[in-house]
Amino acid sequence: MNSQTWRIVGRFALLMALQLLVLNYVYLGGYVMPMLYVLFILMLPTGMNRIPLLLIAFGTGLLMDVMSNALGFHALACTVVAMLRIWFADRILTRGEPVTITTPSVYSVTPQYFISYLLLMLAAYYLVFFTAELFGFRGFGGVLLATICSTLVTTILCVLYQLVFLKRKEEQ
Amino acid sequence: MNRLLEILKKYDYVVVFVVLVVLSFVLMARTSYYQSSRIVAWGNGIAGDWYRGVNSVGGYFGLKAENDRLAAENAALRAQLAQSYISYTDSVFVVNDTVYKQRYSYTEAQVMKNSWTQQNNYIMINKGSDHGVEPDMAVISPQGIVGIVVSTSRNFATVMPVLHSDSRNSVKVRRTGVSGSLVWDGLNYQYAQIVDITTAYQINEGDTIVTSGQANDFPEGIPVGYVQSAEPNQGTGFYKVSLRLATEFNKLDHVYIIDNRFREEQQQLMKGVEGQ
Repeated sequence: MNSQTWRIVGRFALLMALQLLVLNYVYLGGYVMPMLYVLFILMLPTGMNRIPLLLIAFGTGLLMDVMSNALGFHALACTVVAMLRIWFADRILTRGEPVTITTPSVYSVTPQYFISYLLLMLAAYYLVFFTAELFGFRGFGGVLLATICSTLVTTILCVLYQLVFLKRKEEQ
Repeated sequence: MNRLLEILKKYDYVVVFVVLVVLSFVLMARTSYYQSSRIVAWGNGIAGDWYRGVNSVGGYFGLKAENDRLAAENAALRAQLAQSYISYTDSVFVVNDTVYKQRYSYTEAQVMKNSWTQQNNYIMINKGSDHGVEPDMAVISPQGIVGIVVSTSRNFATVMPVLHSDSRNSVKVRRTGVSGSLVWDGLNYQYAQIVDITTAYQINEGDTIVTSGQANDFPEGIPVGYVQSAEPNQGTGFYKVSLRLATEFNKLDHVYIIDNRFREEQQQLMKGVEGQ
C-alpha cells in the first residue's frame, strides 16, 4: 500500500467518524440532513478504474445503511453518484487543464469548478436518496425542497472540511 | 461475436452499475421495518457493538440530568404502583387471593443509538432476545411513549419510535376518552399529529393525550403529549391535531420495555375472530 492509499483509508475513517459521531446527531430542521461522508466518494482520485469506483461507492453507502438500519437507500444514492462521476465529473474537473489532478479538492481544481462539481453530485445524491425515502411521504415538493436545502448545507460542509483537513501541497 | 464481446468489455462498468442498482432495490424492498431479516439482525450485532462503545463514553455527560429524571420517575412510580395491574374479578367467581393478576412487566434498558433527525428514525437498546425482548413489545420512557420493538438480536433490539413514517399508535384524549391514531409528519422531533379524531367532542389546547390501551401492547394511560393546536378538517368530521410530545426524543437514555403477559392470549382470541 503506498502513501496515497493510506491517505484515502485515513480520509474514509475520518469522514465516517464525523458522520456517525457528530453529523447524525445534528438537527437542522426537517429538511436538512448533512451527509458529509459522500465527500469520500467525490474525493477518490480522478482517472480511477470504473468498476472499483462503483464497488467502493456501493460499499460506502451500504455501510451507512447498516448503521442506520434501512438497507439500500444510501447504497443506491452512492452508486448513482459514482456513475455520474464516471460520466460527467472528470470532464468538469479537468476542464481547461491537462489531466494531472489526483484528488479533487478546492486546491487542485479551480474553486468555482470544484464547487459546481460538489453541487451537481450532491444534488444528484439527495434527489435519489430523498425520492427513495420520502416521496410517498411529502410528495415531489417536499423532496425538492429537502434536496435543495441539504445540498447547500452539505456543500458548505465539504468545502469547510477540505479547508480544515487538507494541506495545500499534499493533495495536488 | 467478437464485436459483441468488445462492446461488453467497453461497457462492463455499466453492467456492474445496473447490478448494484438492482441490488440496492432488492435490499430496500426486503428490509422494510417490520421484516427483521437476517441482514438487519446481523447489522444490529455490528452496529450494536459500535454504539455500545460510543455510548460508554457519551453516557457520562448526561449523568446528572439523567439521575434527576430517574429520581422523579421513582417518586411517580411509588404513587401509582397499582397501575400495572388489571382487575381480575368477575361477577361469578370471586377468589380473594387472585383479585389482581399482573398484566404488564417492565424491563429496564438503556438507549445505545438514537436518531431523531431522519425521516425514519430508530432507536437501539441494550436488551435483546436473551433478555426476553420480542418484536411488538412496547417501549416507554420515564416521560411517556417511545415506540415499538421491531427486531431483536441476542443482545440488542431496535425500536421504531413515534418519529417514524410507518409509526401508528392508538391514543386518546384523557379528558374525554375520544381516541385517534398518532402519526408523525417527519418535520420536527418535538411534535406529532393525531388523525381520525372526531369533532363530536371539543378538544382544547393543552389537553393531555395518553395511550388508549387498545393496540400495540401499550398499557392505558401512558402520556403521549399535550395538544398544541386542534383545527377541524373541513368536511371530514375529524380534527387535525398537533401535539407536543411528552418524551424528549433527543435526550432518551433509560427506557422500559413492556411485556404484556396476556399478549398471546389476546392474539389467539383475535385470530379466532379474524378466522371466522
